[in-house]
Amino acid sequence: MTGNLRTWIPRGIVAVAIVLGIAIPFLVTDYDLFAMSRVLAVAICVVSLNLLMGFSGQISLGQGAIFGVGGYAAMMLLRYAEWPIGLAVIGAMGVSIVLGVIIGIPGARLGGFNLGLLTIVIAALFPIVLYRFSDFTGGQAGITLSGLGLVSPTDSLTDAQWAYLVILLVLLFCIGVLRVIVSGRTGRALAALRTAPILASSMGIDADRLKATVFVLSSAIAGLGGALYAFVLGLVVPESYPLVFSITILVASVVGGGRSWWGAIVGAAAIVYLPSWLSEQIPGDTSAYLAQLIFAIVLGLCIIIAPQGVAGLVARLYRSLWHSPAPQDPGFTADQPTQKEIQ
Amino acid sequence: MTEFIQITLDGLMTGLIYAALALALSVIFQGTGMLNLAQGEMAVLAAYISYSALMMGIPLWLAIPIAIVISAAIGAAVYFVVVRWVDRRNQTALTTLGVTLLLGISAIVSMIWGTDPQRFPPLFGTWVVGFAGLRLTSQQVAGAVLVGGAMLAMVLLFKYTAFGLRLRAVAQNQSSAALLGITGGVWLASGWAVASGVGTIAGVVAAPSLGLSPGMMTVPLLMALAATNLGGISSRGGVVLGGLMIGVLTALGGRYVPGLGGDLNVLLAFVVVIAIVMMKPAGLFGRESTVRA
Repeated sequence: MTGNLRTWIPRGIVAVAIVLGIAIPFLVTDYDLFAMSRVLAVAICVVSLNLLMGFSGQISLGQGAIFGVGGYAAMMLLRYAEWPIGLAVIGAMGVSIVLGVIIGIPGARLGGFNLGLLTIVIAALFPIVLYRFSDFTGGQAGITLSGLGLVSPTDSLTDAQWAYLVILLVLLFCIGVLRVIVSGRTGRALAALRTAPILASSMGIDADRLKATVFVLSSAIAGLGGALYAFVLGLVVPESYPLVFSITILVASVVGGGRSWWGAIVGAAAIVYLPSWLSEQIPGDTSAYLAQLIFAIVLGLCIIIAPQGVAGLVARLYRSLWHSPAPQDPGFTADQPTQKEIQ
Repeated sequence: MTEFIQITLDGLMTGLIYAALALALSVIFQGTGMLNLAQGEMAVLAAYISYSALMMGIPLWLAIPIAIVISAAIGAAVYFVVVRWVDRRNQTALTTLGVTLLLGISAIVSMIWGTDPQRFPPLFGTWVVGFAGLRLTSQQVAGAVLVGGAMLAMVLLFKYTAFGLRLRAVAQNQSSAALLGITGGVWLASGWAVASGVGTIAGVVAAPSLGLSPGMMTVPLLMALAATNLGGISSRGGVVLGGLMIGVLTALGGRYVPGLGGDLNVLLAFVVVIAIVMMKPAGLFGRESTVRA
């Protein structure tokens, strides 16, 4: 009986959270919804990094740049090519996939820290390229939409409510797809690749191919999130996507918990809300750098003492409530596959 | 032809900065297995420290050594406080730690000194020497002297001193070194200190021409990363040559390849490096390593 309860309580919490998530737009103001929509769009990006780092043990220091590429591609397709909004989003994913192939294949081939290296180059160069080709990208002013990106098709929903619900559904859909991927045969292959790369190749897993595929998939999702984020804001500017932003996405993924889906949403909320909350407390530029410093300290602490992030801490707390022997805390991403992955 | 030689010469001089940073990266990688993505930011911090010393009226010849000593201490502290807690086999965690440091140091620098570029005084005054139609600015001469001096000091340190021998022993095989009484921690911290010292030179040499700002070393760091890949991160001499080659390559590319120039040269550096590393994974001068299952 207890065993049943132990598995049903978390499921119940998830169900309640989803219902709450759907009910929220009818409870809060459109202004708050705007911030929440941003959180959810960023969460899509964090989820994509969870797949890459948490589950396959690869690093990307440029996920924010790919998110930005998705945003720019969607805005350009909508604005200049005048594609309908759905097609523009798909086009943005296509562009992100191409970028993913360009980075992912050499990254997987070269192995080691090289993927980290290539992605940090992309992250550092992206804003520079945007300024450089200002004829296409609008330079510092960026690209703005004349109207709203996500316009409500019915009178019963305001535009803000509609945007929020669309992004929430896309996020839940992405999480659903990724859950299927990481729990099946591919998931076991990924766990093997993460924990024992040599063993994985000895067992016939085509490591390079799998790594590259995961990178491309994760790029596609990041691009999707970026396109939605751009539509929520109604503009894209280079200063939204500096190298620091890409690193902040990494903070959200690791601090939330590299293999936790709800942790990704918590992480995304932290990186969206903390800077704006701090800027209300402290006037001037300092608040942005203070937020950056806090992120760095928390990320450092997570790497050293809480490799599974907030989600890991909560899971440990939950287990201790049931007096079950706590499994030894595995190291950062290169840890043992969990029981669930083996089954 | 004169132009070509002049651009090559300019490239070599810029390449010195990349070489110094790449050398720092290589020393830390050999010691702790970490690709220290914060190396550029640490050099920026060092440059700001010497800038503050200069502003306090301390003369240049004293300000630079002070900055070297302080950043060496910071480097050792970084090792003791954070790096040594992370498993050196865990590449993802180490790389993440690198960007964590980058994020933190850049935040601290921005909070203390602000983000507006500061004018860093020229190191050796302002003059130009001409020779057979070629010219060298005082900036470039200062860079060559300082970086050259640092490189020479490194060679002497690693090759001819007991200190350097122990550093190499720990870098090569930590457990064997421990059996000989060379306990890892102190020596790995020394490696971090030495690397930060070299990085300081890169920062101070770059500051007058790039303008002192928190993001000053981002592009040089990327170039240095390309250099370590090109030369092979396990070879100290290799990465220095790699840095010089990247300097010349990007200078020539920026001049003769249409559409390139400025910071976009990073792209050229990486395209070339990836093409070479695809054929020679350990870099031009690095040793291949094998792993057993």
